[in-house]
Amino acid sequence: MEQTNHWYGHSHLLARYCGLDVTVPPQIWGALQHGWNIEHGFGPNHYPYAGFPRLVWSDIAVRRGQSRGWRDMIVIGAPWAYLLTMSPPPPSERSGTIFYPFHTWDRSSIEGDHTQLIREIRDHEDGEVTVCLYWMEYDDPEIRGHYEDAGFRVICHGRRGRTRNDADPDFLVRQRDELMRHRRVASNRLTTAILYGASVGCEAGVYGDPMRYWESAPDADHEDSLERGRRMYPELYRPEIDPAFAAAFAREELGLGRIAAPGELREILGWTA
Amino acid sequence: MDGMSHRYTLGRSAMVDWSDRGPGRAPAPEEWAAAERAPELRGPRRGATGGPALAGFVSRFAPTGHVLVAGCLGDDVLDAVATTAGRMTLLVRGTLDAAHLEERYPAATVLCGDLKDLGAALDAPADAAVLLDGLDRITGVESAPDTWVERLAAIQALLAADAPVLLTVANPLSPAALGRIPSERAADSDADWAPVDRTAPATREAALAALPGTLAWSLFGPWAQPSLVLPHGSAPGSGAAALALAHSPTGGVLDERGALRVAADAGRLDEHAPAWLLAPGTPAEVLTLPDGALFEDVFLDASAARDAGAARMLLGAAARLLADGVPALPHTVVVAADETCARLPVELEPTGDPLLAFCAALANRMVQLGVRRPWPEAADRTELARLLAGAAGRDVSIEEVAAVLPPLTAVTPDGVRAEAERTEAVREREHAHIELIGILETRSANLHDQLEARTAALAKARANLAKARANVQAQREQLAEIRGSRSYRIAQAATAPVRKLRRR
Repeated sequence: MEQTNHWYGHSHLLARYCGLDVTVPPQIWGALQHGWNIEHGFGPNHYPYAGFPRLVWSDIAVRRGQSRGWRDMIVIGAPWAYLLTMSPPPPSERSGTIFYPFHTWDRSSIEGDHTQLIREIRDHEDGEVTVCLYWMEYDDPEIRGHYEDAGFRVICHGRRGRTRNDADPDFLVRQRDELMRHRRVASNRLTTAILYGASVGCEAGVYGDPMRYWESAPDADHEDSLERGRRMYPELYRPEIDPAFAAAFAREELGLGRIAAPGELREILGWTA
Repeated sequence: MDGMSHRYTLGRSAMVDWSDRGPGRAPAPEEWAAAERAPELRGPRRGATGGPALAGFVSRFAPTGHVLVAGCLGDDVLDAVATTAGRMTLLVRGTLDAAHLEERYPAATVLCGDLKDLGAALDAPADAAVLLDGLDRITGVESAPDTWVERLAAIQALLAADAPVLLTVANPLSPAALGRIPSERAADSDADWAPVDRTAPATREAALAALPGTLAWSLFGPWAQPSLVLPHGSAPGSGAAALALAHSPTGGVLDERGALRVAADAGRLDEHAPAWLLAPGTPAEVLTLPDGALFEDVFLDASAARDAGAARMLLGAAARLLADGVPALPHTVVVAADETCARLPVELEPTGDPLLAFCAALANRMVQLGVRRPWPEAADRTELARLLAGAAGRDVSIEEVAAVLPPLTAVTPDGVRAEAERTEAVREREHAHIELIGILETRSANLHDQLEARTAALAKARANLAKARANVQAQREQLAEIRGSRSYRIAQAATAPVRKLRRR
């Protein structure tokens, strides 16, 4: 089935929620939304095959998909929403900002000036700054060096994983714990991390050079998505997003009120004997 | 889409690459076509609401000043608005439709999104609103579903005081709507992008109460393309009531035309119309129509009564009407009290021989409804149509009838049952014929066997007889041979005196 189901330890996390063996979660019958975007829960160039369920996070993703002629979508809420129901960490003192520079992936590249972005971060943030890099940028000494040289604390939540065997079951756990340590979450694009942060009480901001995304796959124009997002939700493209708006937006888009009970989820995912 | 050049205003809820009037979602890129839902599963299209009847009504109403048009309306209706409006603001939700409107009405302000987007974009209250597409297609993607009442209130908030509103309200209790309920429950086509909403008015009175100061016209015909706008109050037996029935489709779960006929006879046609058009009072157009009942209904009543005489009389009257060569069909002809026929003003496609087409349509309707009386022998529509044509004085071949038979696409449940009964009856008749043929064949075979056996016995007897005759001949020959022998003669000579003494 979809390799993306295992990214960020999503299938492991859902298996844990369902009370199953988390070391080798069963294959999910369908395609699970693995991140947020303004499209239909799947990327501009991600077309899960018709005939299999498309497991999306929110009602609004269903409406967006329906407007694209899609069917067979099931709202189950984000894996993140399930994580928030399981063993929450003790409340901690929040301080500083965690900043997520927009990242690339295996089949794309990003062009932008990290030095310029660092200047913009310094202009907007008045406390300690943690920069969380995607594993690909974290492994790149040049990019990582920019942020380390700037004096920021530089971290990585872990590897995304490619398959069930190399997925990182604790990726989201580390991300949750980091977000809950920080007062603010920010990025140079409106990304999943902003929503995750807003959902656990972080103030949020989107600012700075969004950089240019390049991908050779057909119909993969993320820049069009960026432009659409800015037009549709200008309230979210500002350094200081209204906390109530951000929290409501995150709640809707992450489907925090749409999680399924373990028995239901096992049926949906095809995890029954 | 956002990067493309356009002048229309894109709202948050705009549906990208979507068209309510056209093919729905624009095709996916070729590379991903296999991953898209098969086009045939996207379901039927509702298309734009419009047609000459609605366009004509708008022309008579003639909205002026700044006119707000919301929903997916056809070009004919929008052209009518543009003729009298000083300025148009058009709201649609699909970007493909917005692009079309922008090109066709360059002077109009085109908004793409939903009502929440519209509220922010209007710079001044509108002087009139044209909402003939109803209120279910002015909702978009990004907004949480709202209600009919909320949508109407949102539009009214954008209008000047006392601004006239033309609003179509679908009648959820019409035969057409009631017949759609089972399929609507399972609706999953692109055309079904509409909120589930139980707050819309369910009766004519409730619709009028929702928009005080208006009158309600009744719309008849296909859902999104009503072909007739009638003022309130069509009396039973009036030409107006007949015309409403003539514009009503047949078939479906409830057989819309048949159900409306019952409502018309009860003087309740308006309450059961498929939809109402609410508008400020305007002079009603005076229609000059022949009074009478629909030919189709009169004929079906005669059939139900097994009154073959009345049915033949009606077919004769229809034949006299159609002798002028002008097409008419059983549902576009009324029968007056004096039993003469007259046409209703309904435009029809040319059909070739009008009487043959008339009889074919009538046969179609009878089979559709499952009416087998008074001619149950007819095995199918073709035979029945030929029979009706014969009753009307026209002798035709099966081939001629088959050529004009309309497709039997809309069948009522009763029609299905009756057709099944008709098929079963024909099957049983055929079965009986086959059984009889079998019996006769067996009997024939037995007789054949008997004949063969007797023929064989006869041949054997003849052979025995021939053999016996041969034996007799042989014995005769043997006897003659004995009599001619020397010993026989000596013996005869020796015994001759003795035989002579015995004779004394």
